Amino acid sequence: MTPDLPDDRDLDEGGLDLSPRDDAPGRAARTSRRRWAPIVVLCVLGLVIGIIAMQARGASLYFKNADEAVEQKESLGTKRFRLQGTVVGKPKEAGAATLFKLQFNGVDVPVRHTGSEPAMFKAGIPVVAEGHWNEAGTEFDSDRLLIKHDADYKDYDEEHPERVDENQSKDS
Amino acid sequence: MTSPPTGTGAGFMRLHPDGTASRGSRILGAVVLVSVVVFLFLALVASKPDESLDAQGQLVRIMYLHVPSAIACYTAFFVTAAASAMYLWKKTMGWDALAASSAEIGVIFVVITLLTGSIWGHTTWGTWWEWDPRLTSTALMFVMYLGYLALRRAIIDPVSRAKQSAVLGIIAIVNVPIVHFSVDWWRSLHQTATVASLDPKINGLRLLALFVGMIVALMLYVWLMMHRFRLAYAEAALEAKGLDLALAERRAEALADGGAVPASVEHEGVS
Repeated sequence: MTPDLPDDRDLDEGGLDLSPRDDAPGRAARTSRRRWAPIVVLCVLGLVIGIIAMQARGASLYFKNADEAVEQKESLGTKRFRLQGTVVGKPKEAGAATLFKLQFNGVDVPVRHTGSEPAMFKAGIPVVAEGHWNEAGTEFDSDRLLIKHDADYKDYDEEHPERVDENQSKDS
Repeated sequence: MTSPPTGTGAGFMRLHPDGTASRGSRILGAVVLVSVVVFLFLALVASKPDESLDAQGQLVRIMYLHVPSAIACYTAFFVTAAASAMYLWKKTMGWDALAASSAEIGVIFVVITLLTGSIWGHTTWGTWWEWDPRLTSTALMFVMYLGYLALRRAIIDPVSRAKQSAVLGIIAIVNVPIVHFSVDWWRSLHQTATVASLDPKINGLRLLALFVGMIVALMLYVWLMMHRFRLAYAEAALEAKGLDLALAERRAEALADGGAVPASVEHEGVS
């Protein structure tokens, strides 16, 4: 025999419903839905990961290297993109702009940069410039410049003195 | 009607006057404290500033905190995923408490990673934030685990909360290898790993500072986990006890109303 339980579930701290639950109809349907749920979740997850991977591998490259920027000049037009390359030669001041060349895979891109420069900006440093090809396609107009720092933290002055010389020669 | 004192944590502190501490956690705490001093000496005094071509000078020292924090958060999230899987298998509250504690500490390490990285990036790259693959996937990881912690607060029923959190704890781990390998898989402003092989691109005292930093971060993670897990376990026990007490009260009221309680239920309520 079951006692008459007072209906005071609202008084329970934390709002726990302590009344006995009866098996509602449609339990079988819910169980089968529950069996499918993980498969659906896995499919959706796989799809999302696939899309992210494709997006990241395909069109939405974070930057184009200097050689690719020259190769794709036609299709790029004056569309905005990020250009990556190593600064070769000493950057020159030309009024409000800074002129320098970015090199990658032996291909040079002349860059006209207006705006601020990171403190580390100088010859021999890889940078990422944001901007577009000018109308004539002769120069890359950049208005945002970021340093592309590498993962190398070795003391080359001690172990590889030749490397320091090599870098300094680029400066001149 | 008599009700036993149920102030939050009162019973726990009576049973464990030391709180969440134990002999093991005290020893580890002391070791961590000494290691932190050694680490700070190596990172801030002994190791030289970076004077290579892309010279960062003193700024290189941020790496000794940034990289170990990232490794600690990866570790924390792997523990969350493993404990979540164990919960779904064993269905015991201990695994749930372990997953929850590890996620919480992992989030703290992500915040440290993001903050130190942002300060470093501002001076080195010339930007506080950049939507490149590494930074974007890390931001996603941060938000996913905030979501995990939010989910834990959104469900009252302990069993349902544990199950749903465990599923999310396993799903969220998928992003962690993506964060780590993003710099290899895609073009990123963020540099690739400095220590990725037995011939790391770092040497001397700088390597030692980075290595000690990793050890300290992992020890700190274990020490924080000891305390956080014990607290989470005690909370779960208190929650279960509160449920038992509430059941007992309802039965007592039913008795007072003159209803008869089946013997089996009455026996269960006494415990």
